[in-house]
Amino acid sequence: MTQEKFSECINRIKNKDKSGLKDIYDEYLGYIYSIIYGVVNQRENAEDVTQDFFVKLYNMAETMELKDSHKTFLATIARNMAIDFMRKNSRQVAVDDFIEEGIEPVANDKVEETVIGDMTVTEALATLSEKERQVVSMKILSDMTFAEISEALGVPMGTITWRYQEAIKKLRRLGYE
Amino acid sequence: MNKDLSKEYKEAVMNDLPDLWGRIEAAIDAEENAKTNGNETPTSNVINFSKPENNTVNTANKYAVNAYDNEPVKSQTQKKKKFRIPAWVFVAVPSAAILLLVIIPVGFMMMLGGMGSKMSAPTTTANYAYDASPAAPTTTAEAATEYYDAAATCDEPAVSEATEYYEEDSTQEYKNAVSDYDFTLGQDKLEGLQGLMENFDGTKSDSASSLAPTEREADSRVINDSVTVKFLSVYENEEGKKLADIEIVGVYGDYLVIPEDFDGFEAGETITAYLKPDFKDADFTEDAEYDCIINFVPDDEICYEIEFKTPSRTEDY
Repeated sequence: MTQEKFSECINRIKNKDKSGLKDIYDEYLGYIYSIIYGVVNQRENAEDVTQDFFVKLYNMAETMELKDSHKTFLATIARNMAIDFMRKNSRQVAVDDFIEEGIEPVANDKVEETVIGDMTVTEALATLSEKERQVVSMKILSDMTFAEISEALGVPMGTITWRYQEAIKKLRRLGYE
Repeated sequence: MNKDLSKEYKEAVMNDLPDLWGRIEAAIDAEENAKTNGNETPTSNVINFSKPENNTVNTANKYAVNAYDNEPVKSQTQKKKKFRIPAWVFVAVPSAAILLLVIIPVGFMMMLGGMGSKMSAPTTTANYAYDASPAAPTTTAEAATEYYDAAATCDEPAVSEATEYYEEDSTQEYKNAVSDYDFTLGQDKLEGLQGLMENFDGTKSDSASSLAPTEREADSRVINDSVTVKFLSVYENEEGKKLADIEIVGVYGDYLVIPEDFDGFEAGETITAYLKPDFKDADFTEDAEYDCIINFVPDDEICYEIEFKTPSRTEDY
């Protein structure tokens, strides 16, 4: 979506026309949802936060002043909302049914090449610890820097980097680069 | 066969996208309705004095429901006035409580403590003296016996001599006992602390504060992993810190590690690490292998710092 098109959608929202929001929703649902999912790491919570995000966007349209790219702007709001949600719900639910479909962690030395080759990304992610999976999700899906993840989780940056590297190391054994 | 993690993960999430438009639309409608209703009928503080049959019942408004009776409506404040508590009660009750719960017990404890210390002091002194020199009490007791004997016989020089002996003897014994006791205790404590520090993080520490790490510290303690590495490249970052891309050739020895879930380094793994400032001027031979220690740097994206296992080896470089 171009900047002009986005501004036009916002103007329609200002006139209480929901079609403006629908256009933004159609264009960016996947982008926003994956950012939020990357932080909250659980499907129901990600859906709730995504819903809140679009409602918020609708409500803030009147006062919205876009200076930078609208995509960056949307990503920042989505990320902040997800982080707020995660902090409020201090007991982080990091295991998702999407990932957790009865998959046992795989003992690395016993896995045969054929099995590794067939392993889906969700199965591979299920072999990681919760903390590692969260860092990988935040890094890959939410496109956050290590510093941002460190701040969001309140964990030293070295630890975050470390967890990421450990996760990548494990995933590499399963054929993921 | 290598697969693209980032691409596949994003695709997996995208394939599982929920349809939220219905929910979003409903939420916006609900908010708008709430706003509209809120502007037209701000019912929160409206009191309806009419009879129920003539009015719409707002069950959320308890004042309106109360007003369905034909009795005169009394506000919450009026009702409270019936049970008004005299002002002095608010001062007297807490004061009495403080007096009973704090001042009297504290006074009592202080009194007991004062008596206790008076009573226990000589005993303690005697115990120290006894511990220091088992023979001392006998000597002291003999001196005391002589004192009383002399006093009983009114032999003044003998009394004076016995008193001096008793005073000198007991003072000296007390000093000896205290110094011996403190010395032993201090030595034990010091050894205990040092042992604890060494066991805890593998390094000798100057400060006792390391005995009680915070949660954050516990999450990011130092590792010492003995490794053999090859230096692939050495360069400086924008801050002027020297960095090295290194390949792990071999891992030996034990390591002490936190953060959790660390599996240790693996041969063939390539990492980027800070070069410890002591070694920043060393030259590295390409493909040469060096024995190193790798430390964990908690607050940095590049979370490793490398130093040489045997500092003397840097002389060869």
